[in-house]
Amino acid sequence: MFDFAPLYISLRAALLSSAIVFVLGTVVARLCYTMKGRGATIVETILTLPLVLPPTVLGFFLLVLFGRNGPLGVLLARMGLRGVIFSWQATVIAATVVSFPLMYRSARGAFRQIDQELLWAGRTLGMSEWKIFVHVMIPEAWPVLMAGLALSFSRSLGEFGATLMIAGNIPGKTQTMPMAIYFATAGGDMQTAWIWVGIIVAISCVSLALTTHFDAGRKG
Amino acid sequence: MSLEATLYLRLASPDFYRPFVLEAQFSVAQGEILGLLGPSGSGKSMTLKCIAGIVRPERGHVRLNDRVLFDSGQKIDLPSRERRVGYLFQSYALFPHMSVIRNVASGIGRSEGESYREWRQRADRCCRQYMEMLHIEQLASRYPRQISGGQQQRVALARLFASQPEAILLDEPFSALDAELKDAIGDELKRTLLSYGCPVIFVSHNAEEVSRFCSRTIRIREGRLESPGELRAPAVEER
Repeated sequence: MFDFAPLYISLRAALLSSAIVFVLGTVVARLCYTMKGRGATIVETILTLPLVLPPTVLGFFLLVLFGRNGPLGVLLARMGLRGVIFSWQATVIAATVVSFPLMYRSARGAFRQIDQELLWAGRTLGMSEWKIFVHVMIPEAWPVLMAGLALSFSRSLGEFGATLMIAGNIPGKTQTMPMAIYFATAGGDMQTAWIWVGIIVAISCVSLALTTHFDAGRKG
Repeated sequence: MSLEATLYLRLASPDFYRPFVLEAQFSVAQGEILGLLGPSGSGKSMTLKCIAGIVRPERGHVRLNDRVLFDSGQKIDLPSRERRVGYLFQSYALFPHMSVIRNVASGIGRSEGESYREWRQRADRCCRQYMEMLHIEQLASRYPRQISGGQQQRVALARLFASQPEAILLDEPFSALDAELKDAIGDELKRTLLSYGCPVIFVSHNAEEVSRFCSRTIRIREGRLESPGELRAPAVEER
């Protein structure tokens, strides 16, 4: 009987992390898009760093942060969430961190393209910044935000390095599809590897097609 | 009831050979339409933006009725949201993702102690009132891209009136309209503005348009007001 647990684990990590990253990336992009000068460059660099850092380096940082004695690990333990490392939550954390820059940069680009006069019209009409964000900026940026979401989802689904570092490869618990492919291939089980490769290619194709679809909607 | 403005602003813009300096002092009475006439780049729009809080002047004072909107000496700088100054943008700046009626309603905020339902009902009544006044009630569920330039202007005006501004700034309101429509809309717009009865500033580069539309005209050139009687010593500089 073929074990479909990696599909479930991967989808759970990708869906949850995409949802987190969608909200977080959009809000952070809104908070940062008015920033200028050196501060902006520093924040920009930090937020985009996960995109260029090797996943193992990210995984290393996450281990330090979320480990038993790491600051976030201690914090989570106090909130009753002990031992995040090597749990299914770790797969979500890794996926969130690696896909965040993709969403953030999409949202930031989308917000920067919005006609400033629309925002000033809102302000002179007495609309609050929050109301302008929800009712003007997000609808204007929507197609690009959707494309960013699809991109983040694909990236989360393919996440390997950081996940291996902090979630490990526990079959039925933290073994995601990319992990299953690696260990199946390493163990000579080509048939299993082929099945997972097929599933990932299929999901990625659908996700990319959606991205292209939203991109076309933006131009048309 | 009036709008008074004293503005000093220097912009070190690479577009200009030397820094652009705007120095203006004027007042507009209630029910008066003041025309600011000048070529492009003369500082007309910049003047409006300073009053609306979009651009911050270096020095100066802006007072609307009994409220100080801006005062560099007292460090008062109300955000645009709180100024109650209606700004009609050259491009109208309608929200493309909102229907006409939602556009008109966008500036009607919920007042304190008002329930959600009361607010919606009041907003609806208010929208209907101004949409009827401007003859656009049949467009309520359309979107800005589906209506003509003249209709877009009316929607933008209805939205402006519905937000209950205490002063109205019109930035080249006719530039996006063809000549025929301009004539048809001009007189009506003037009547509507006079009946609303607040200080109005009308900015244009077209002398004929200004003389037909405004009760009083000031010429502006390279950031300075030129009309005799309006040109005063730049008191702002001593601040």
